[in-house]
Amino acid sequence: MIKDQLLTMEDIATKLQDLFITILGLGPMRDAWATSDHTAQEQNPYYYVRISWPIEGSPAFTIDDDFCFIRMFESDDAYNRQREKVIEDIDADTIQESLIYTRVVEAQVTFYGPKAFTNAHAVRDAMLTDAYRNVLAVDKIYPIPDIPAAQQVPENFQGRWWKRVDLNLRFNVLTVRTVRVNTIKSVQLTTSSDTILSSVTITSN
Amino acid sequence: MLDLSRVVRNKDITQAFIVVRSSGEFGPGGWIENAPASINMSGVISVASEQDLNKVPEGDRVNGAIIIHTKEPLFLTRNSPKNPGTSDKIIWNGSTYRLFSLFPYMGYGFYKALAEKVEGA
Repeated sequence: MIKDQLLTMEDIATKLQDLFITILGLGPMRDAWATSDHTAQEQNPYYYVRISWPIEGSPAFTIDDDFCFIRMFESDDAYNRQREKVIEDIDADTIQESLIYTRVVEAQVTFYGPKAFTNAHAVRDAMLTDAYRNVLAVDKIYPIPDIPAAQQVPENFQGRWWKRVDLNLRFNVLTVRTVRVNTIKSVQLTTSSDTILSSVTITSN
Repeated sequence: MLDLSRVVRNKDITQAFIVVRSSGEFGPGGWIENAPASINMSGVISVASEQDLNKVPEGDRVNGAIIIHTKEPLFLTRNSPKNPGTSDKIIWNGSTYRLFSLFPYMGYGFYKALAEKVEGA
């Protein structure tokens, strides 16, 4: 039986955040953070790999360290509009209708810091590496291998040039939405003519 | 240095308000706010910009801003390594305002801040 596979944009961003922490070599820090008292912000891997647009805002970042920000969008793509429908019998009275399709999503990843360019390239290459692709494949997320080059876009802020590199990644994400409906058990048909009125009930086996 | 805090403590012109102070940390999924602390304060509050009605297709939106003078410290979003957090919110006269500008006059014994009206908690 087909099951729902519905990842929200937040779900996908969080999975990428976790993967990027690994790619950028912050995995040991994550393990240590999980068992720490969470008092030293500079020991928090999630401080360095963030998801954009926090509702209430969030503390900013410094020019000295390396940071990475993830923005998720759904991408308009012809592949995104194809739908496959599968109907399955659940029991005598119920069927399940499943809509199966591939969603194309885009992650705009921004890297700041002295190693911005190095980190962008590490993430770009990781998207073509099975060791990392297999991690995403568990959740049916598949990086599209045609990845544009990272763009260097230094920012002028507080009178200094901040190193910034932008990288756009796209992913195919398997999506399944199911709905269960009752089957029709019987239908009553009534026919009439000038002289005869007849009615028949058709019942499913 | 001249201490002007007596002015913002003058009971003839001060009003009570509540400061909602948030802290948090970065975690899986992004910035995670802790349960905020509510702090009773008093100070001089004046209007920075009137409450305006914006009619948008989705409904009516009201915005506005106030100026707060107080002796107690107020905070904008801070990147303190030990206690990071987002800007203070002020609850005054049944409305909530979020700090977006802070004038560092603490040397004269008071804080001045600008806050804009926000809807919701």
